Amino acid sequence: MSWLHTWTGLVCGWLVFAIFATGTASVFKPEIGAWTRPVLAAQPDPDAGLQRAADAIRREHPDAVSFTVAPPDGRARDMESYWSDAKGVFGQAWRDPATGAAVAGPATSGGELFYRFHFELMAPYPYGRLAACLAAAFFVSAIVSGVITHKRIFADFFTFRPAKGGQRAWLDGHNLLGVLALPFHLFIALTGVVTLITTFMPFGPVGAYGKDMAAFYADAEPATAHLPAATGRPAPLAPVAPLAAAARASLHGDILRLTVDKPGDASARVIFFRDNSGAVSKSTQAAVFDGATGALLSAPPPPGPAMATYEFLYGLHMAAFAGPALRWLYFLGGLSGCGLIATGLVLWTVARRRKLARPHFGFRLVEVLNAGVVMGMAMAVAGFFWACRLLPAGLADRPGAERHVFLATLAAAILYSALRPQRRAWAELASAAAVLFAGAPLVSALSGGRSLWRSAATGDLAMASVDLTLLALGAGFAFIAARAARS
Amino acid sequence: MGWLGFVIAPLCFAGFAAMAMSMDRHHRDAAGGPCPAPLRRRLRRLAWSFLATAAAIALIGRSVGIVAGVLSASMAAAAVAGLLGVRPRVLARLLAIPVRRGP
Amino acid sequence: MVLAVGANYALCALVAAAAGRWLPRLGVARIEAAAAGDLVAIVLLPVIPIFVFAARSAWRPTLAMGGAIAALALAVWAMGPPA
Repeated sequence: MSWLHTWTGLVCGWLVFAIFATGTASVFKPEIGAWTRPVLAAQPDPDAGLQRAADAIRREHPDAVSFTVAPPDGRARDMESYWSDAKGVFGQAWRDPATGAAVAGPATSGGELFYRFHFELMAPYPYGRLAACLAAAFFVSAIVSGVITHKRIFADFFTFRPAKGGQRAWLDGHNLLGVLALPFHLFIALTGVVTLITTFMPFGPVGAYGKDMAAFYADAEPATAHLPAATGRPAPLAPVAPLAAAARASLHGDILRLTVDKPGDASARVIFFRDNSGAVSKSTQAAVFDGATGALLSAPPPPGPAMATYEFLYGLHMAAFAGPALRWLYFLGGLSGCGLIATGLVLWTVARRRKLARPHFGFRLVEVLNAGVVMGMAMAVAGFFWACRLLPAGLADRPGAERHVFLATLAAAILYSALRPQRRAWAELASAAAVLFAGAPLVSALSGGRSLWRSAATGDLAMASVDLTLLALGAGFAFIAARAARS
Repeated sequence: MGWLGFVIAPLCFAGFAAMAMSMDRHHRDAAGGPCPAPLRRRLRRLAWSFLATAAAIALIGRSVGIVAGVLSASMAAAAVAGLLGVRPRVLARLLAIPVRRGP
Repeated sequence: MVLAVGANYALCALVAAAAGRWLPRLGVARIEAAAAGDLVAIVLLPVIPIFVFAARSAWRPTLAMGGAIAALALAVWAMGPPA
């Protein structure tokens, strides 16, 4: 069993670390996204913002057959909007609720870079997702086998002896991070696979639906299934702001986003999706209105037990239900997961270094990847914030350049780790991570983007928190660098 | 319902602290000697009452409450373990456990 | 090793397919059968290796998995196309 733990841990360790690091960052995807975009004033009336955005989309893209707008939710001040035309061409923009127009500012990946890396690994569909799922499945095996292998799990429950040093201290740290946050690690890994379940394990739907997969997608998303075909008769779209108020009453909750199907046609539908507050489950409840008359149509049926379980597990992973306090707990849980994997990987080398007269290729590979991936991911995450502010605004495919900077930083860290002696590599890379994290708010202030002073002065708590968290992470990595240099 | 975490966390901290102090290894670090049997019974009972209360409160909050409870419990346990690792005597003082000075 | 991982996945995929094929014949809605099959399969996927490694000899779990794969494959084939 301990062989299973070591093997699954090693095989998936670096990948799961990268997934955990970007996943932890993604807990604050809206805030990070807002940080990357220009400063906006807070708007008191989200429904008016929805109306302005809807009007703007109808003006700018009159031939859009469907569009979606998400109202500002307190975490970001702008509104995300998508639209698609009859040829299936998609557009996306962040809109200012005060005008409905797209927010001006240099093109950026925003919070999407970490989020997409988290489940797609910047690899082509579907391979990135499959790799992420496989890694997560291995991770669950590693967790369960780790618990079984840990014979003194209750006696050692609170045992933390940092002064002991050596392999014992690493094992204590690994065990502590694993056991104390065990529920979190287990559920986040398992629910992570659930979020990509149809890509990774399509055989349930294939078994039940066979070739009729269109019926599967319709049954899975009842709110947007069975939309009427276009009639060709033009009819002006009803104002969405009053519908939003009616939707809130009907859904007994707030609105996550609104989708308009076939605007301007007599068969238009306006669908308001309920947000997730108050219950863990990702909500499929929606209020559907006739787009021309504004009448409330029937709501989609509630899910059966299996789908409800799926929605619960999905919601548990996405944490959309979480208020600020719970979000920070997820963030801390994510950091503990990163620590768990890092200590496990280091433990593998520490346990074997003494036994080997000369490190062989496999050992050296693990050593290099340990420091390279662990510190490299930290540097890459921090580096994104620098790239976001420093890349020239007029650059063609600026989001692509941000992705390149991200990957190049990771690659550079791995290369550096291969060239330096192991102990030095950890200390030096950790110092680099510390400088990159702590420097990000400074770069932001100096380059004319958001500064911590301005966020604090205008009472923008969310933006100030991003900067403060970056500073705190910088301090954390500085501490790690100091400890690594001393050992 | 996430605010329930603010109630559950201190309850779990107290419960885990009492549980840790009832274990000889940690009692030694914090108070200078193994845990005497009557004190251990009291601490264990105290620990389970705190943890049971925390669990009950979490259940009241239903699904969000349970998630908040589980995550807060982890954080509280980590705080106890951390304290034991760097400043064990503080934990003994918090629980009014007599600390034996000297060797 | 790759074979073992592949066999594990195949077993779970067959569990999902069998559930998806069989449950609708018992009156369960298709979407429910699909979701239930998939969820059971991905919980099994990381857990099966635990049982395999907990076994005392290597033969028993290998035979059990091989037998389960064969039985499920046969069942799915015998049930024919989805309802």
